[in-house]
Amino acid sequence: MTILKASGLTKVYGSSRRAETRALDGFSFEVEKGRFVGIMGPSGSGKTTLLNVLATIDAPTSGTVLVDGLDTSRLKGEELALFRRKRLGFVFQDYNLLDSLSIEENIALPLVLDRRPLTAIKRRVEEVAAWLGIEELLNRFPYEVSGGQQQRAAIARAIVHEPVLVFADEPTGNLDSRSARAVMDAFTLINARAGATILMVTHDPFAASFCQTVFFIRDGRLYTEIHRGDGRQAFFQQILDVLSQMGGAYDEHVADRV
Amino acid sequence: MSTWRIASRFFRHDWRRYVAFVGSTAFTVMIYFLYTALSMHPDLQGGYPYARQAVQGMKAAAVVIAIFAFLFLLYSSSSFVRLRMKELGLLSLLGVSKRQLIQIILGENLIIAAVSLAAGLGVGLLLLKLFFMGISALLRLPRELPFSAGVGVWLRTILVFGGMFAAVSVASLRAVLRRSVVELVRAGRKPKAAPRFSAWRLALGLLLLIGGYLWAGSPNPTMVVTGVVPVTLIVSLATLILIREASIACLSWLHGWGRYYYRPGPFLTISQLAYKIQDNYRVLAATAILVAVILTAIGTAFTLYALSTSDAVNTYPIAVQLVQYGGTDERPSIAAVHAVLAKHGLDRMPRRELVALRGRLTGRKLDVAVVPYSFYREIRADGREALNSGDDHEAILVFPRALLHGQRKEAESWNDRVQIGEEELALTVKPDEAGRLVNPGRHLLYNLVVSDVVYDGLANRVAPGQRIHISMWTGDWRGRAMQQASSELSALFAGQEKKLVSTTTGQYQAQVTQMGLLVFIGVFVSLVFIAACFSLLYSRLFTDIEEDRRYACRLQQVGVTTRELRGQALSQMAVIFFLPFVVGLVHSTVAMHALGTLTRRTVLHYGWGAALLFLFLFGAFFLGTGQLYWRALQDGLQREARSGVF
Repeated sequence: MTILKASGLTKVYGSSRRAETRALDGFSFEVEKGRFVGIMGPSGSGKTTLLNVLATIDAPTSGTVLVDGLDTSRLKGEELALFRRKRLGFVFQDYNLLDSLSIEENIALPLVLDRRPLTAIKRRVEEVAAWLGIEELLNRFPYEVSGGQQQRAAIARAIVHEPVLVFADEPTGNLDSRSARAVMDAFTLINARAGATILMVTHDPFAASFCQTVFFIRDGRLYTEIHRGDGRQAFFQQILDVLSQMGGAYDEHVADRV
Repeated sequence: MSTWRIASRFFRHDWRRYVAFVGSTAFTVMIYFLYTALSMHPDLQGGYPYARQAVQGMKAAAVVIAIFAFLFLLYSSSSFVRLRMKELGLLSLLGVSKRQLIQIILGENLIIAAVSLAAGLGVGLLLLKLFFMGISALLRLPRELPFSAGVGVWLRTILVFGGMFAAVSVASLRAVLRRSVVELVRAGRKPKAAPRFSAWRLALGLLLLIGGYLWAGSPNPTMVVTGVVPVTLIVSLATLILIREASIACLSWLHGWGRYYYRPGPFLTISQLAYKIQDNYRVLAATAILVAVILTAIGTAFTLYALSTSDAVNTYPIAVQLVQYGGTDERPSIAAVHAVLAKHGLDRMPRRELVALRGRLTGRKLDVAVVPYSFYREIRADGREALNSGDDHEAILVFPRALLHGQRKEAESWNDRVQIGEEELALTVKPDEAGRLVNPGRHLLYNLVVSDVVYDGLANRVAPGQRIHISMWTGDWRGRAMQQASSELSALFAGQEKKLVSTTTGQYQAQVTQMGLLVFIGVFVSLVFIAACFSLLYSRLFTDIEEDRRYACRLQQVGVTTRELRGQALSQMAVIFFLPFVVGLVHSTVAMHALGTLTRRTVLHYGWGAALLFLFLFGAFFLGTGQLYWRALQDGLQREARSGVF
């Protein structure tokens, strides 16, 4: 079953023709339910614009986005915010946890906004925290735990309300390699256990190697897509190969992190 | 780019942060300028009645304003420097030298000083004429004060405020230069500890507050009077402690109440509010104390105004009274008074004559006027016998009733001796504090009532020099005719004879003028406090706005709607604004209750009247600032939204 379908997405910035920038140029792709999908591309390739458009934060100049069969361009203002909060989950590079709330409260936030009963909230938060191995941290505050733990809490918050789709933007961008691995394991786990559909934008071939499918984007267009076979190591190598084909912008990535 | 351009760019870029600071400083400059212009006005340097008091009052108010303005500037600029730290740190990281840094800070301060002074003096100049008109009307000056603002006025205002700005600039320079570049850049990025309250500090605060309130609430006027300063200090300290501890304790309690807390509104508001209160409790306490001072000042001024006018009849019970000392039987001035009254159609007023005897109560060391019991009975006219008719050794001492009651409670009765000329009598004296029998004058403040038999005996024996002849016209003192007659009488009996004739109407008018002036000064000083109070809240709000933006942005990212965000932001702001108001109102209610003890009346409604007025101002300010704040918050959010979430 297709959970996300983008067709002919185009996004043009700037009004006058001379200053026009085409960030997306007829981009189309589909994501099946329960898949863990990565999007890669060099800087300026349109990754972030794509994510913003897919996540309904930015409107495309043309083209449509269907999330779970719903055309998101039909939603306006408040509806859109409610749609985002009930149906989507977000994981950000800098975690975006609220400093004034404990880890438990941060995870509970989407359920509280949804006015779920207290007992249901508590039960669900404990369940999700246990999956991600952060049940010991529930009473701590964000500044009291490590970056990796904060990111796992953010993942818990993103899936606690069982969204149809989780968006992640460079989730390992601020982490050391050990924490990055723990975070990617967490994504793999929630994908397998909760059946969450995840769409992750990343620069990092190591992080991308945890995905089942990786789409490559260049100059706002779909460059290619690859699917994972048996081993993650082999997939990692495959990713590096595509990146080197694309050239240029990936020189900064050193491939010794497997 | 020159350092000057950097400084001016800072100023233009962040005008919202500056506007409250510059606005309230300019307002303070304006008020100071007006007061100084009035106190240095050439026409007021002599001559007019009450003008001297007015000038004194204005001078005192100007000093209070100057001291207050200095503290305010010091505080505001230090919070400014905190805001600037990161920017200044970045500049020095990029290679700006210490000298240039000093130039930037001084440049910025110079701009603020120049704009505030120019705006304050400009608006002050515009309002000066109006101010003079108001003062002339209040002081009932025969001629309106002409426009006058000499070089001295300008020079003094500029010197006083220029000096303050210079001192404040030096303070902010020190604050910046003491820190290393790293400290500057990192300023404000330290994670904040979760707000917790301490039970013992909460208990201490409560103890201080209850102690202060009990002291102020004492029914004993002497306790109240001696308590003014210590109670103010104790309650201020209690406010400082409690506003943090009690608020955080309350919020923690709400936080622990799962069913309430785990709902969108409280969930988003309570936890962040606790942080805000922890960060801002000093400002909140200062605002609460300011509000208490403002409400009490205005309430007291209103009370004194209202009571003193109603008290005119208590202090000067006789509508028209003429006094003659000595023993001459020729009293031509009665005819003069009568002529004036007749001219205004008041010749039907009943007249009564009394001869009081000058004496001295040796035990109490008081000069008294001895009057007969029959006169006392006529005045009191309540049918109760205050003296045993058979006992000639009993007497009543009638005390003048003061507006503010501070003296100790009188004994039931005491033994004393009265000396009249060569005569001396032993008496048992009972006090009477129910109000005066006659208008005050030399020897007439305290009246000793003795039995008619004793009085007659004394009156026959004393020398004429011991007698005081009092002619009293009684009746309505409020009419227009009486007003005209009163001013004509005071014109007629000028100079030496001035004290001999007194009227209730004249006293009433004097009270209205004096107390009106008091109210006027009180309200103006309060205005400065109000401006400061608003400015403190406003600048606090915009100091935190970056943090609030970050918070709102994160909330928006997890799907909090704009309406929910607005509700959350405004409800937090409402608590920050109205918490100090409520605390200040409670304090001022206790203070007004104490004033009630001193005046022996219920005066709470005057305080609450002032509070209602202030509430309107506060409400309007809240709505206006709320709009500005929400717009500033939204600007940031939209910027964020334009650049996408990721």
